[in-house]
Amino acid sequence: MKKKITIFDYDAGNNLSVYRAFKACGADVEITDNLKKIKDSSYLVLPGDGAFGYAASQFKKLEVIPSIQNHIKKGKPLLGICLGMQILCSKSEEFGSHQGLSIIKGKTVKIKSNIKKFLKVPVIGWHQIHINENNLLKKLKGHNKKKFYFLHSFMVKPVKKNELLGYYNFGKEKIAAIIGKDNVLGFQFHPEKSGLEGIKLLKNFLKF
Amino acid sequence: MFKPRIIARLDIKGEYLIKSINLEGLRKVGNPNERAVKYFKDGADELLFMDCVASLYGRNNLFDVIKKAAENTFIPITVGGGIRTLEDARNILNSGADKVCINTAAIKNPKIITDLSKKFGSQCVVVSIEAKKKYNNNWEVYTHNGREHTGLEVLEWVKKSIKMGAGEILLTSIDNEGTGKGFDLDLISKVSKACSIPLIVSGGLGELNHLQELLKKTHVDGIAIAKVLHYNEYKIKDIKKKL
Repeated sequence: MKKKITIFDYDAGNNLSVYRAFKACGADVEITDNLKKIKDSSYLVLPGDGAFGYAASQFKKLEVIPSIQNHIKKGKPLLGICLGMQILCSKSEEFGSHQGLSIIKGKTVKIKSNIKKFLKVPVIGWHQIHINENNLLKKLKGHNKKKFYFLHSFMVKPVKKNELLGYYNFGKEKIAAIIGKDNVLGFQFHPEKSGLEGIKLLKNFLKF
Repeated sequence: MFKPRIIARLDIKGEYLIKSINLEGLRKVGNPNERAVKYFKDGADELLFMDCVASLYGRNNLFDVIKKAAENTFIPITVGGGIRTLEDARNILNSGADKVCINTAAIKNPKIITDLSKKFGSQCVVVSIEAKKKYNNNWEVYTHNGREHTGLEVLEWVKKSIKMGAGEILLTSIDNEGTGKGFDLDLISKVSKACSIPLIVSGGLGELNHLQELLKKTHVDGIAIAKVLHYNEYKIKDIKKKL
């Protein structure tokens, strides 16, 4: 049977690209802001390509937070991508201080650049990720040390060590690439923009 | 080791992929989607679509072209040409783009850089700069594919763009664009020293040893390549081997 993916449309995501990537995985995909559809979804995806404050205000305005919490409570898989991952956390300091969904404890802070070492922010480009040993990620093990595409200025600092599932090296900094707990997963990179490796990763997410 | 991103640059007019020399004399070279898919399969790190005449005629029919062109490619896409408002940007992003590239609109009203980065995040906002040499070590910013001069000095405009919230700079040398005579190393070297955000350079690649020269003398984060790819002079994997 085809897997059903619901992409939450909150006017700050690259919805079409995420849609096309899941289509390429052979899934049924729908982009919607309809709360009933979100409530009934089997796999819920929060895309993201935008600023935290605007996204947080959209989540509030669309009154979607109870539906997302309900989805998680039922044990159904939830994936946040980039900004969609950051919004899973408690708060962000992008253009002022904003409240997130607090599903994963942690805050989003600006990445520090080091021009002399050409560590530039925004981070734009491909980085090799390192996946921590974790039960949650057994299905993703094959992606360890593979390259994925990052496009961000802010990074997540999870409070609990076991919720940081993967990282990449940025100078001496280890930047969160994957966070998660139970049935909730967040990718800082864009699997939908990471070539065939990214498509493979999304296929593996559909095994959750 | 750090390697700059290799970005396939596709200049578009109407529904065709075109190629210019010094940003002028446009020639049709093919179908944008066929080429985009080919460059994706060949290992490009990103795609850059530029609607060459959009800012000239003040129209925006790019959305459908991008929607089609981006199909079956799974790498980041930047789109430029004729983006004037937040709504234009939203529509372009909804059409499959990840970053928007602005030039004319930003020169007319630099505040649009700030507005875009507040709404979409600065990582989404690329400021495109068309540079033309004036005299020794001085380059002027142009718009409308090198047709209109602005009186702005390139380095000043780079700094201002960064201050206003740009996430990336795309620097095109009008003098070298489409000529295959190599990059404008003086220009790139000057800008790269002042550029605290990622810098993509475009214009002049004709032979593979131009790349080594570029990497030896400057630091760039991305190289946007059109001519040698469109005319099948080199493959992306040949280019990547030289990095």
